[in-house]
Amino acid sequence: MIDFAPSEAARAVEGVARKLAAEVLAPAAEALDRDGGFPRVSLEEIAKARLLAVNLPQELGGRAAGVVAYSLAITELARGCAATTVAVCVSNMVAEVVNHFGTPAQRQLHVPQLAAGRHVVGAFALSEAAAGSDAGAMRTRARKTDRGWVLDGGKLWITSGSDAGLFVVWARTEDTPGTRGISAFLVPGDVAGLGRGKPEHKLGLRGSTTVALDFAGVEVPDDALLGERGRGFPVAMMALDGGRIGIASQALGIAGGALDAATQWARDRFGADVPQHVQWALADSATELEAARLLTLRAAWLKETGRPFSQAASMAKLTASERGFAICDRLLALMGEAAQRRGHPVERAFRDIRVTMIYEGTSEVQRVVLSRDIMRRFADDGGRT
Amino acid sequence: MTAAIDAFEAPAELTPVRDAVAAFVRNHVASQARAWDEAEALAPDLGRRFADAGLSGIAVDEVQGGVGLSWLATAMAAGAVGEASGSAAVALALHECVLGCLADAGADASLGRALSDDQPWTWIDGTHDVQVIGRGPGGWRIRGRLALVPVGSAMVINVRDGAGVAAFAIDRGHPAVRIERRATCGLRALELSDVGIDGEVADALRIQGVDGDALATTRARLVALVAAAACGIGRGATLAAAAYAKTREQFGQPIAAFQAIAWKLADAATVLDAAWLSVLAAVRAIDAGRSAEIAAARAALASFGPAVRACSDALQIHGGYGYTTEFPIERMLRDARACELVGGGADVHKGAIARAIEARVG
Repeated sequence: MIDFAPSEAARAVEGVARKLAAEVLAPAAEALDRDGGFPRVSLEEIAKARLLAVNLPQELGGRAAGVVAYSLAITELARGCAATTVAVCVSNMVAEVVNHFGTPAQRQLHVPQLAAGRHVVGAFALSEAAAGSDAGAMRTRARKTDRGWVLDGGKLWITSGSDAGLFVVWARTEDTPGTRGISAFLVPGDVAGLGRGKPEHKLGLRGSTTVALDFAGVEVPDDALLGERGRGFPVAMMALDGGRIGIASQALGIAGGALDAATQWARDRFGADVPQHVQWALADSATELEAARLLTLRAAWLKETGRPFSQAASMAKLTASERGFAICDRLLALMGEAAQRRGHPVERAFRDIRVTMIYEGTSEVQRVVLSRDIMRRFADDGGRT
Repeated sequence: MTAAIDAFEAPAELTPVRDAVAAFVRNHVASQARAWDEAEALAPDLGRRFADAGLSGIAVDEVQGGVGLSWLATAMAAGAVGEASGSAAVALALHECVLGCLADAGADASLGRALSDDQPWTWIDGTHDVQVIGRGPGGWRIRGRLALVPVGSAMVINVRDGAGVAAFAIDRGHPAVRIERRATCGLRALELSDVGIDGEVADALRIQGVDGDALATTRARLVALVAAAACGIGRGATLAAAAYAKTREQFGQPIAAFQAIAWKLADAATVLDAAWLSVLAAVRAIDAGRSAEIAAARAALASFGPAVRACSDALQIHGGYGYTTEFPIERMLRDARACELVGGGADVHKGAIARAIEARVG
């Protein structure tokens, strides 16, 4: 017997997120989308509810609620405001990566601060202008000195980069090419030499800042190194595996919110006599969403129970983002002029969800990763996939 | 890439107009499309610029002040302009439909005004929402509300009149018209608005001779031209993505070397070619004076979805850059999706096509 029901505890966290989404995020979402900016007030409320550290130990300020609870919470928050939610996803990911790879001192110093929102949020600085999907092409360097490390280079597309108080920054510490010789560093937001660019103007997620970072001789102490020297790339990959559950959950929430709005529209407009093309659109959307939801929760459950979850997370992220965009596009087309007005929940969902196919590993990267896994499993498992 | 989208090649007699359109797009559209989108307004003299480039009344006889070409040439122009600006392409489509409608009706005074206006006019099918409710001392009393329709310097609005239809050429400032500008997802530079009409319109503004057949003719022209614009938007995005993929390097090679990227381009080129052929079938029927409603519906159905898909794939090829307004792709995606606002939704077109098929089998 397979039990698909999340635990009472996970449901409780979901309920907290649902309430926050309805009372805090959703009322601010339209203005945030229209005017841009950064949702500091909403994030303070989210921190108070300890949703910046859903899957982190209680002694470090977290909720210790597990990965399923995290996924459910992110989905609910994204129904309210996708832009605010991505900052929450990344901050949780940063807290988890510090908790997983950090020294006891690093954990004690940073995780409670991230959990309490004292860093506002954490940010993840991996991508560069010439290193998107190909993270191994990064050029930012960290040079060893007597006092620690000096970072020089530039990062691009850094979510929450305008306001984050703590960055995990990847930089090349050795001369070996590609993904070897990269190390991860914990860099406070107020460090000298760190320049933050202006937020990019984007199609959607306009209440999430996406900025370039400039590192001009940024000095950090020895204990800023996160994990082993030269072993930073696996840190990033592992963080992204978990991050994909967050983005899949975010896509579920965005598409779910669009489906809610479309269903309301269908009821108001057609009453009991809903035309078949509308019925079909709702049926297909709900079915695709449910398939994506099951994949996402399965990935979360695998991670929560300590099982390998990388493949499941990629499948979940690929499905939730691509089907999610297809759902939002279908519903926007279905509703026509009713939804094409800027700020309408379906219109915003269409713009917001599109980036979930790009960040935290593009759909193409997911397919590459998945195909490698499939081939490996086939070889290991006697010709079965 | 041009060779890969063969259907866009012009017949020999239209080579001059193709070159004129290309120059117009280069000089007047490409560099301003982003600014128009951000300002949510087209150039205030776009109608004049169309005219100066020989793109005003393309299918209207020269004796009536037009260019004397064809709806095929008009569709080529809408497609080429769409490569750079969806809003300008749809504005051109609407303006040409106004001119065609006025020329067919022999409404020479209105036609002269539209041809010489600095700004494009728009054509609106209001037969579901607006009707003639009687006569008053000032002329015809008409009333209704239109949701998210394109507003021009003046509008030719088709309305219901008893069992038939009527058409009026009404300036945007007419006292019977109340315009509420709306922000939209796409086609932002087109002035999409909610329009309330309530008042008397002088006899002189009624376009005589517009009946149900004339309405169907103009409707088919508009649907086919917006489909042409959508093909253009998709093609512009695909060409931009191809150029980007040749120069953007990841994993030590241009990303165009990856099948995941190259095949997106192949798919887009193929479906956009097929869509363009359906546009050509529609405009050829229009030029031949045949009923084109179903051909235009097919063109719309074949174009709108694939244009969105091509833009979405082009955005994916651009990665994070494509999601920013620094690149034109996000605008093209929004514009492609909004084409249905003017060209009609899939439900409408599928219904029409299905009824036609059923009629054929008795």
